[in-house]
Amino acid sequence: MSSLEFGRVLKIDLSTEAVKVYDIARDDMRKFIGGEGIAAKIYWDEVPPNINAFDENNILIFATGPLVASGAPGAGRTIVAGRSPQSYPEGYTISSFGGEWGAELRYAGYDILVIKGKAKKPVYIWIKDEDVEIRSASHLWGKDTFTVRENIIREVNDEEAKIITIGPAGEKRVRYAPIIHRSGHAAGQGGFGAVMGSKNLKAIAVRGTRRIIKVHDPDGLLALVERVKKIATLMGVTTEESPLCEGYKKVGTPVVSELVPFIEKYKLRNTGCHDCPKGCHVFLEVPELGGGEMTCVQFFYCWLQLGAKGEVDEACFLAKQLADKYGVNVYELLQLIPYILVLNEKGVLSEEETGIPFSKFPGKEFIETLILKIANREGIGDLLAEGTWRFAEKLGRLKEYLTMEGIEESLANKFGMVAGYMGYGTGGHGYCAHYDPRDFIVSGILWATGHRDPWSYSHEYIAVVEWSGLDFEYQQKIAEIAWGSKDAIHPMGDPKYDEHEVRAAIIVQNRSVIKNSLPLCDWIYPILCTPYTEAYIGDIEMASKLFTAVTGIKMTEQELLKIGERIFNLERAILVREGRRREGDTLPDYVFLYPHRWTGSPPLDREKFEKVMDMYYSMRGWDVKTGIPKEEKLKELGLEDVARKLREEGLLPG
Amino acid sequence: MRKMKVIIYNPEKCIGCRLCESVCSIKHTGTASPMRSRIKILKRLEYVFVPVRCRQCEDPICMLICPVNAITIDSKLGIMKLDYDVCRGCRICVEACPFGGAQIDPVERKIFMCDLCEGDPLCVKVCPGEALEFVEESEIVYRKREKIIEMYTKILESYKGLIR
Repeated sequence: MSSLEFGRVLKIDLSTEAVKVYDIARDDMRKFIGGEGIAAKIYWDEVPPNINAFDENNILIFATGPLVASGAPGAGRTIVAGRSPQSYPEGYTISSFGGEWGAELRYAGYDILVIKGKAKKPVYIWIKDEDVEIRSASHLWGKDTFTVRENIIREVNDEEAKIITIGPAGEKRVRYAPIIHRSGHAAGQGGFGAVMGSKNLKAIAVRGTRRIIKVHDPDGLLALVERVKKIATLMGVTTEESPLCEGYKKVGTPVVSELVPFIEKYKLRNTGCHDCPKGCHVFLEVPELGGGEMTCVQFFYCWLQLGAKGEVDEACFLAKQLADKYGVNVYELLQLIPYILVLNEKGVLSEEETGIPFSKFPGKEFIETLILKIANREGIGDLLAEGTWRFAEKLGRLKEYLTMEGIEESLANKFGMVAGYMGYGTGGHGYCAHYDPRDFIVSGILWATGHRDPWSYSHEYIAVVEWSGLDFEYQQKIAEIAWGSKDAIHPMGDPKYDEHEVRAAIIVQNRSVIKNSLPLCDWIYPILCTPYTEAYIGDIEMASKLFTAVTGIKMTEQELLKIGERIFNLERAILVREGRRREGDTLPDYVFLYPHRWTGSPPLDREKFEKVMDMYYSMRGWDVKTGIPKEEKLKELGLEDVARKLREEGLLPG
Repeated sequence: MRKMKVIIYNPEKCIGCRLCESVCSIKHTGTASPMRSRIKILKRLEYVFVPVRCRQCEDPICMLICPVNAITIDSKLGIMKLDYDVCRGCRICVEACPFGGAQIDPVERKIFMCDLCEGDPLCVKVCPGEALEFVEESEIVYRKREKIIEMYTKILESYKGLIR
């Protein structure tokens, strides 16, 4: 007997103020698990393919999973899904955030929250166990996220209420406005804060005091908790050779060592998410700028500062505070700032015309002016609020932006030191570069076939090849376990363009969706390498073991991957319905034109890359010409109804 | 003699993850629920995390006040014991405890309090930041005094070059 007690949906229609609670069919829970999987299923069932992201028929799905609040370590995340205004073109994508909101939602008795429609006036939602209220937020409209949180806690009179909210940028539909939780957790990429804004929804507060989460095998789970605490590291940091080692050891967050002195100076304590022993956030308090949680990419302005002047100052904390208060996605700023600096250098954007003090970069004045202009869509901010890709397009410079013709060197340098690790410019589909295809071909396949920046929620490959610090032979041993062959990895910048690399990309994708469905944190799972075992080999089966211990459903890693494949195909079907074909599975042109300026990796060979993509589609069981899943594949995965719908709409190949 | 080891809390090391709550609840009830945990991390202002739990008092008010004498102290381990055959669930101990250490289980409707996991507390074992420690009583005082040693060492160091 299993204890899978998951699948209760709270559905709120803001247009009619109707509140409905229902359970997802048990069969669907088995097929799609939770999180990203179940969100994709709901999206497939409910969202018409041809609406825009700000249409009131777009829905916002907040999905936890069966491991959330179960005691499984690192299961503190909530998946957000819907049609994204940040993607180019607009389309289905997901985002996610950690913290405590998802656990609280489960304690309140719900596993998934679905928001439909559009409120007539600004509102916020207050969920206290079975009581669900839609309250006026007129007095909170225009307020920053920190103020909103304090206000709502006072209004609901519960210090333990967990709140997600948008800032002014979300209200103004800035296409990359995140949803903010606490002072430093965000569903960043995707622009779902703008979708909340378009629905006149300012915040969602939750407090749960009733639900008891059942655990099938308590002793088994407790043993796994201790094991994870013992062997797991963040991002696979395994040896002293890892570029993240010093940051990880000294300040507990994945940052490069250059930032360690700054963090040590202002760190109040480490913080993190519900049930997670890793505490990867730091709570900093800087005089006159207040306190706030930070991790990884929230240090974006530090990276830019390091590149520009070789040292960081307090302005980098101001940048994070303003971005989180006004609700602007730091990841998009990371590519937007270098790009407008280059345009300023070229004389396209001037200080006088735009009102942005370019000469004050990388100081406080520059970042403050920029974020406020974007959040309020004031002057040039109205164009910048469309995101870097659309901004370039509106200036008639899209070709230059994608080929980097004449701006390549300058852009690479403006990205600063971080360009070496992450690439520079765009990665594709409207999102900032994040691990460069020229360094690892698996990056190229993932970027081409993704619906957003794929590496933000599938670090496993990068964790081994870039962050672990392990020698290549040790990496190969891990590659064999994780991705089926020691040839799944190659030395940086030296791809073989063969099936082993393609298979690795497919496994990374399947595992990434299943990880987001349980959900487990991408920075810990899968535990592929660890400093604490022989040959640094981790425990790849940990996710399935945790799932079995909590739910009682027998599951192996291979079976989980198969479910991952099903979910990934469902998502592909969604994208196909929204118009995605092979032609859309592209990389920005510059990766085929120039070597990587920081790592020295040569440009990709376009012909060989297209051959790799041929391999990808046929190994996926998709039509090579169109990139649409074949009927046999969908049926094999138990997606008969999906195949039927695609056939009815004339979308199936053959 | 009663009590050899106690749980101590180092507030600066707590990351607020509440894994202690979850494992406590799982171990004692087979379910994950903050309502059923013997330890509770209260949070304020995003960075103040304070654990609330039974403090294993020397002269416990719960024991003193219990009308049916259901609470006793295990003389060997110094752990508070509750005899469920005697306890009527009147909740007077819940009201009396100044620390919120005694609670009533929302499912079983029974009073419960920390039993130190029979001398090997799980919350301490899983605590990632070593915010919770299980130490000899005498060590608490010793550690405080150790900090004073550090202070005086600094004073001495500041004299360097002055004393000849």
